[in-house]
Amino acid sequence: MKKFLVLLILILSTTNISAAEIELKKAVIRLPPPGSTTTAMFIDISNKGTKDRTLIKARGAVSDDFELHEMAMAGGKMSMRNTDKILLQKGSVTSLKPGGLHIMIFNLKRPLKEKEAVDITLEFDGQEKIQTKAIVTKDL
Amino acid sequence: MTKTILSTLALMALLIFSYLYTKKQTDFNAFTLPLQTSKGTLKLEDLKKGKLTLMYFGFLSCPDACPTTLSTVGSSLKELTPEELGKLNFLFVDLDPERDSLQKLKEYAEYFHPLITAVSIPLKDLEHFTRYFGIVFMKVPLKNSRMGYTIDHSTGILVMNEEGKLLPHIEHGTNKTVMIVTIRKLLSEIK
Repeated sequence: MKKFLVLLILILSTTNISAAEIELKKAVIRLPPPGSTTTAMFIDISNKGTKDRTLIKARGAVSDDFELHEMAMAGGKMSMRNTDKILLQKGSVTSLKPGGLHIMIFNLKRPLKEKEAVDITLEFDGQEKIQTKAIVTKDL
Repeated sequence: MTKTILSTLALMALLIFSYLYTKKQTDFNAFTLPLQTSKGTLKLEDLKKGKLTLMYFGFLSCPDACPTTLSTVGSSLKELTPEELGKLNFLFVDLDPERDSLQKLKEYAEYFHPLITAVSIPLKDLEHFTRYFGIVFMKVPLKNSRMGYTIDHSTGILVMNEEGKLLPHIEHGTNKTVMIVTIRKLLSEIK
């Protein structure tokens, strides 16, 4: 029994450590201009762990359509492509920001209000899910 | 022998086609092309008179580059005096006429600044229009995306003086302070 408890505590504490390995900061969603039901979410994801991780999905009640996108600029031309994962290198912060990586949100089910906090769940490799609130921001 | 004749014929056909193609292009006049806006059509030749014309090319489902640039443009225009604004045209030329309606484009553009006029051009003319101004755009299918396709496009802001002469672009990523200074300087050079 004692052994079992120790094991349980050990498992729980390991889970806790791994959960704290990924930290989310500065989550924002661009207030979509009228006429557009498409927008982008930006966030800083820090991977404090000792292994590379990946962001594989984003979800939220505001839309059924979230995608991970990357942007590239070449010869004055901007290209955007969807990607199935975003690499989060160990011991570093991956910034999803304008002009680079972003989480694209299509077909918003309702209009968003400025300064509103939108619930978003990010899914990482190893079936880890982390909830966050993204603030709807006008000028990004 | 037959091969030589065939390849000669093919080459001739190619030359004729490319000649016709380029000829058709030279007939195209970007300044007299009717540009559709929510308030009717307008032409660049009328628009440019006595004014500085800036043009940005984008599309409505563009999640990042377009709103970033237009947001900077909008906040820069808000710093200009009514007199300065009176000497300025700003066109938002749509690159996705298959998906974007004029009404939605108007709402979108005016949200950033009322001076920004959304312009829609049918695809066949749009290709000539953009080529004339050296703007590149490409419809790219996206696999496994709800978007279906995206539009890769040039992100610089095109600058044209009152004579219709093209000046260096305002580069993508130009911040508000620099953009205001740049637009003011360009405006001061308008006769």
